[in-house]
Amino acid sequence: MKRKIESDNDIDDDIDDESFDFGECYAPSRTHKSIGKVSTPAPDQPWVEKYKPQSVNEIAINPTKLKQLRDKMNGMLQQGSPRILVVTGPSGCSKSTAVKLISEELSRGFVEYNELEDFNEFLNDCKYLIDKNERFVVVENLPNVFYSETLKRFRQAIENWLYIDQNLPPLVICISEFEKKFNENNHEFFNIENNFNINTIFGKNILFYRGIEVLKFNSIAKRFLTKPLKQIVGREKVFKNIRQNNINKFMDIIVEAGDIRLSINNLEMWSKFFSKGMDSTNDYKKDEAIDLFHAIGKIIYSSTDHRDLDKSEQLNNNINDILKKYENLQLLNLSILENYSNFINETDFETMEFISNKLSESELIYKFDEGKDVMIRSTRVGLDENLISNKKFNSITFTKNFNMLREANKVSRIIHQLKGSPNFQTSFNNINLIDGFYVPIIINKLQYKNYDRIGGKFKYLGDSLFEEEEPSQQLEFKIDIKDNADDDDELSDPLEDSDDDFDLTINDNERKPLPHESDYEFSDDSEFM
Amino acid sequence: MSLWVDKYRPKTLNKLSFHESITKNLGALASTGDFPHLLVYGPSGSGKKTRVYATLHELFGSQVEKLKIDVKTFTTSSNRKLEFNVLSSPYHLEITPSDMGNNDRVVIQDLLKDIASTEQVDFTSQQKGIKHRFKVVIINEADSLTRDAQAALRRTMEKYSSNIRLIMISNTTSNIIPPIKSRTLLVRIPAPSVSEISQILNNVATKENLKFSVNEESEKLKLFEKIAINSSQNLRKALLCFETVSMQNETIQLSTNLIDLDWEIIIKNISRLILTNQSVANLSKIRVIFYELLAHCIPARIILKTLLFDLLESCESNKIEDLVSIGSTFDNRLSLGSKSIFHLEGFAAKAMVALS
Repeated sequence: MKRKIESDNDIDDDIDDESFDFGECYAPSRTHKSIGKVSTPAPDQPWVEKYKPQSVNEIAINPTKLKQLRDKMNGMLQQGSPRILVVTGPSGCSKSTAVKLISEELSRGFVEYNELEDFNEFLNDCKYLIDKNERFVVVENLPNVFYSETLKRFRQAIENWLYIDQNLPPLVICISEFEKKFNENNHEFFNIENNFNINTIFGKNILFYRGIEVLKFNSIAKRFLTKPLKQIVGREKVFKNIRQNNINKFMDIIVEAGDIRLSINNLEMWSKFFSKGMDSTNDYKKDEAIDLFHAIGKIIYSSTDHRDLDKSEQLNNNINDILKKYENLQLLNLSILENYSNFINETDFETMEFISNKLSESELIYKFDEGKDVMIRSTRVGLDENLISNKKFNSITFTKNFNMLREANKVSRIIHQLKGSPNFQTSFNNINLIDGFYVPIIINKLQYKNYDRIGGKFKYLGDSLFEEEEPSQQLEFKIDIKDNADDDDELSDPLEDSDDDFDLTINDNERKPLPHESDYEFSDDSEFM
Repeated sequence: MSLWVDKYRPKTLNKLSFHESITKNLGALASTGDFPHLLVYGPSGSGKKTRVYATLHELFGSQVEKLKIDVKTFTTSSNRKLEFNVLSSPYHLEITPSDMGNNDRVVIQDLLKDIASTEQVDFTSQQKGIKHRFKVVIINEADSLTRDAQAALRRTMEKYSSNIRLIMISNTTSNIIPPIKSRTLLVRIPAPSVSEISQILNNVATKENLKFSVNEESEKLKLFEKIAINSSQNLRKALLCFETVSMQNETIQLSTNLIDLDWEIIIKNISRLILTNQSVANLSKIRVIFYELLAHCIPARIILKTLLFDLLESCESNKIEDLVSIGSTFDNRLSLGSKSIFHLEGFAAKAMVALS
């Protein structure tokens, strides 16, 4: 711990002593810098470090986004609202650079969290950065949120920050979202391990609180990315010996990624190899991975790629592209099921029947290599001619499958617990289907209680919408049954509460962050708008 | 407090009320002091387990009712801890393989070996002159045993037959492999008839001193019959339903509406949606309801079956054939596939098209 804050006056001294770990822009190495000073680049520094933007205007980013960010941050400073701004987006899209440079422009700079510190302590110390010492608190490196205890503490710290009744410095959290291919063991679930995004990090609830706002960045569009790259080309001697069309050809490839850090790194490596006579142009193919909603969009709307080929070839190639770029087909299939019906006409039964039937058919052959893409292909084919005619934008929703599995897990846990008691000596299905409904009613009448169906009541009753959810009395019910069991039958061992040792496939922390519905935001250079 | 289902459960063979001949056979079996492995099957709520316990009572006396629950832990080869409940008395123990998931083979083999290695010591029934050298193992929901476990059981049954008697309880024999069927005595317990159920309900009503708005026997019988039919001859369901109905009022109105199961009502609503308003938007709505049902662990095949029968009840007669054929296709797919939501959706869509 380098940082000690004794009193307000001491802070200034501390800063001069480089006691604050001030952030560098997007360099991977850690250096200490004082606020606002322009460091003179050392000649052997990596280019990302050497050419990092020194002022807000140099940031490679969509100007409207930049203005949005500045307005938001200014608002935080002036009105103190929102208290927390979460900036998200793919890696290398200038999030943190923009946040840091703007914070220097608007205030006296920023304080950055170092992942080795305790997050709660850090935030506590930061509370004093107000009034004349006011500066932005930037959190770019999160504590180890993959460990559930840390995640819990992290969320708690954020909640406290939102609710504490005093003036606070503006807090900006930068998060690079990513999605990983599901591994064998947890392929069924959507959690922080495989989907690192604001929903899994903060959980569903926090994001709905007042005082927290989210600003989403997209990957950098080609036209903004090309400019700084060209500047580098102009300033580095090494490019003098390389033909312009070679450079252009290479630039076209690397800007595809939309990741400025990656692009500059690639440019540097390529130029070094090229000057030694090695043409490695084709080794720098862009990272082609696309995210779930992008993939769904491509399936529903098709893409304009391969337009020169004839119809069926085009269809085939488009699907191959998606298969190459998106790996988690199981999640994709579930999401298609959730969404396809929003994109066909109300009365278009033929398409509806075709797709739903194909979905069901292909679920059977999904396990085999030959059949894994059938679902995607048939959906595309089905929607190709019959996409909804009015151009109204339909939002894409996340599958409810994981919610369902979670609930089902909960219900089956409750029932398995009851099954141990002598009052429920019958099969699982009997308890769930018959006793689950009747027994609570009988007990309610006898003992003037108000218990729900075993496993919680149904949220949907036919065609009526969500019913107002009353606080469930499930837990008490369980205990009650146990008590009865003991009264009736003194021979039965008291049942232990096996809440803890039941094998849960999802643990508590992974439970919350399921996004119900995520609206899909198209990226700047979307191909299918 | 005890539910009527438990309160009026017959404990001994001579108190059993229906299926006289089966009861007589079981009595004869018990009187010899020994019996072969049994496979008791029949629809749920027909009194399989009640009969098994009554038989055990006949064999061992009231000791079999002194049940205790043990939580056994078992470590699988992949080092996962598995916990399951074993209900036991001095003479028998009861397991449910579905608690054990895919490891049922190892667990059951292990458990049976454990029991078989110690010979049963029987002091209490010595005065009767019969010694029980075996312990009874009841396997509930035997149809949910994996093939693997069943194959392993068949060997175990022969090897330890001197120390263990198995009683397997199952809803159907179709999932049980022939070698096991041939090594067991099959006992089929059919569902009680409507009149048998109403007779039982009548007995319960008399014992509970229930008041009815009309005191005429034949009128009461009509209510009991209604309940029996509504519960599709499942005695457990009928008794629970009757108890629920009788709880509603001090005196039971004979014209009272029966209380249907919540999930059945939901499925009825789905069928109404499919019948009256075929549209793509409704399909999305139905999907949400399917998810809700699955989230409550309602088995997908039961959803499909109930939905199909609901549809058949109120559709035009010329559509019946189509619907049944669609239903059978998707029922097959449900058992082949793993994500049932796809197939339920497929069925709903096809049914809509067929009805439109």
